[in-house]
Amino acid sequence: MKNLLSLAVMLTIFGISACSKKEKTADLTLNFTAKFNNQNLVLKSEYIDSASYKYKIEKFKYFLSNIALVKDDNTEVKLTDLVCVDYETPSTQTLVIKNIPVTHFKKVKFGVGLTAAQNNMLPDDVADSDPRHLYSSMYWGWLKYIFVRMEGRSDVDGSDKFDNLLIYDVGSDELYKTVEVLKSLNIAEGNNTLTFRLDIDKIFRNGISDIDISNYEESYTHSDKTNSKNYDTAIKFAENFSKAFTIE
Amino acid sequence: MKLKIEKLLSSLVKVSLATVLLFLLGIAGCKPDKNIEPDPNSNDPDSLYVGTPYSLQRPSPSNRFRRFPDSTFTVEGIRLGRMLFWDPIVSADSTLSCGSCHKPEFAFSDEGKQFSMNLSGPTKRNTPSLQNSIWMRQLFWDGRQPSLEAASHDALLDEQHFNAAQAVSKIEKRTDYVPLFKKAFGRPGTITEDKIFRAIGMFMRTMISTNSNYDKSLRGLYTLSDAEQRGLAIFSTEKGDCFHCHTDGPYLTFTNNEFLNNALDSAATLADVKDIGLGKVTGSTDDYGKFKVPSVRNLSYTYPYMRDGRFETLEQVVNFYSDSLRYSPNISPNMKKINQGGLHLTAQEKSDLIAFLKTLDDASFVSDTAFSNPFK
Repeated sequence: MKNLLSLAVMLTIFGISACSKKEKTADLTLNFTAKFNNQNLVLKSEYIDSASYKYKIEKFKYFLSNIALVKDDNTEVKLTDLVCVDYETPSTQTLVIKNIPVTHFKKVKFGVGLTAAQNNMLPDDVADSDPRHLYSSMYWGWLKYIFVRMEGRSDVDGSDKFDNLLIYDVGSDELYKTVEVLKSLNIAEGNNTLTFRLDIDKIFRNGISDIDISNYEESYTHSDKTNSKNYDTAIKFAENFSKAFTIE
Repeated sequence: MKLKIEKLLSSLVKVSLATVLLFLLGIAGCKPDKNIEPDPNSNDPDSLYVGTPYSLQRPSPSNRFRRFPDSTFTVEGIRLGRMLFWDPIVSADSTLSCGSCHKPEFAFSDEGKQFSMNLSGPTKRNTPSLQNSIWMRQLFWDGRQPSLEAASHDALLDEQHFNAAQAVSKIEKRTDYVPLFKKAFGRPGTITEDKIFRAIGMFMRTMISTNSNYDKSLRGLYTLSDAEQRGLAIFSTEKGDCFHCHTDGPYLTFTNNEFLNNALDSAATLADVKDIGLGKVTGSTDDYGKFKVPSVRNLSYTYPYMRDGRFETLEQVVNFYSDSLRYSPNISPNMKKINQGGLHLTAQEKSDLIAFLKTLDDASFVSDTAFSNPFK
C-alpha cells in the first residue's frame, strides 16, 4: 500500500513537471515553387531552354515524402509523410505545418517519390484525403505510383509546331531518392516559411547528365524496365530531378 | 463449513449477475431492426427507416482491387432507380426512358447508332456507355456535369425535355410508385425531383463490368492466347502506348478520367477548332477540342467509336491511332510521332492489339438480368 502511494505521488509530480516544460512552438508554411529563369512556371506557356529548343509543359505533378527538419543536436522533426504537388492545383503548392519547436535547425531532409512502404499501398487502401487517392491519376497497375509526372510538347526543329514529345513518367522503388540540404533555419514564434524551389531548366541541363529533348529516346519515359533506353531516361530524369531542388 | 457456504453464495451471485447481463444483452439483441421496421407504409414522421443496405456483388476486377467506392446504396433505392431508368414516364411526352438509348446488351450504349437521339432528332454525340460510372467524375464527352445525378438530370432535360414538376405529378398519379418511394427514402414518401435522380444514380452505380476475360486472367481463371498476350504488350508499352490514357490504374477502368485532344481533326490554331468540347464548359481556348477519355472495356458492344461515332469498326480506330493522327496546337502529348501520323504499327501488331482489346468484353455484364427492363 505504501509503495502504491509513493508511486501515485511520483506520477503526479512527473505529470506536473511534464506540463511545465512545454516547448514553445510556431507555424511553418511550406511552399513548393517551380521556376524557369527565376519566373514561376506557368503551365502551357512557351519556354526556350538553353539549347534554344522551345517547349510547353501541360501537366506537372510530383510526390515528396518524409519531409523533416534536423536540429543542431541531430534530432529530427517530421513535417509531413507525403505531399503531391500539382501545378494545376494551387492549393497543393503550400502546406502549413503547426507546432514546430521554436529553435534552430541546420538541415532539411526529404524523399523524392514514395518510400517502398508508401508505394506498396493501393489507392483503395488510403483515405480520400490522401494524396494517393483514386483520382490522383498517379497510379498504374504495373508500375505502382508515378513519382513525377511531367507532360508537354516541344518544337525542336523550329517548325513552330509543338509536335515532339516531352513526357516523363518516373516511378519504381529503385528510383526513390532521398535528399539532404544544409539549411540554417531559425524557427521564431509566429509564422515561418520554407520554400522548396525546383528549377525546371536544371532537370534538363545541369552540365553533368543533360537530357536532350531533341533526341526522341530522351524525350519521353514511362520507367519501363523491359526497355533499357526507356528506363535509362527514367534513371537520368530521376537523378536530375532530385538535384534540381534548392531550399530557400 | 462457513467458508464453503460463502464460496457457494459468491458463485451464486456471479451466476445471477451473468444471467442478468445475458438477459439484458438478449433484450438489446431483440431491439427492432430499423432496416426492416417500422412499417414504411405508416405515416410516422419520426421514422428512422433507412432501407436495406446493399453491398455490391460484382467480382473484384483483380485480386488487387477489392474495395468499391463508398456509396450509399439501398436495395429499395436501386429497385426504384431501375424502374425510373426504364420508365418513359420521365420524358416530356412519355415516349423515351434512359434505357431507350442506354441498352444493357450494348453495355449501355445505343445499339450501333452514330448519334444519340433526343425528342427533336439526332444530336452530334455518340451515346456513351454507362459502364463503371461509379468510378467516373465529370460526366459527358465534354465533362459538363460533376455527378451521375446531375448528368442524368442533364440528359433528361436535353434529350427528353424533362420537366420536373410534370414528371413528379405524373409519377404521383402512379399508385405503384408511391410505396416504392417510401421504401427507398422513408416517410413521408413524397416524390421529389431529388429523389428521382438519387434513385437513378444508385441503379447506375451498380452497372459494374469487371468480369471480362482479361479480369479473369488477373484472377487466374483465364489464360490469354498468344495473340492476346502480344496485344497486351503493345497496349501497355511504348509500342502502342494506349495505356497512358486508357490506363489500367485504380480499379482497372481503362480510362484516366482526363480530357484530351486525341488528334482526330487538324487545326492550325486553337481558334480553328470546330468541335470545342471541354472548351465550351471551361471557356478556355486551351481546352478547345478536348474530350473525355472513354474506357476501352466492352468495345465489341459499344460501336461506333469516338465522340461523334465516326469510326464503325475497331480496325478503323486502330488504323487512325497508328497512321492518321492530325496536328492541332493542344493535342495530347501522348499522341506520339504526330509529324509522321503516328506509330505505324504493322498489320500483325494491329490485329494482336484488337485481339487484346476484345479480352475486355464482358459477356456476363451485357446479359445481366439485374439491369434489364423490369416492365417486360
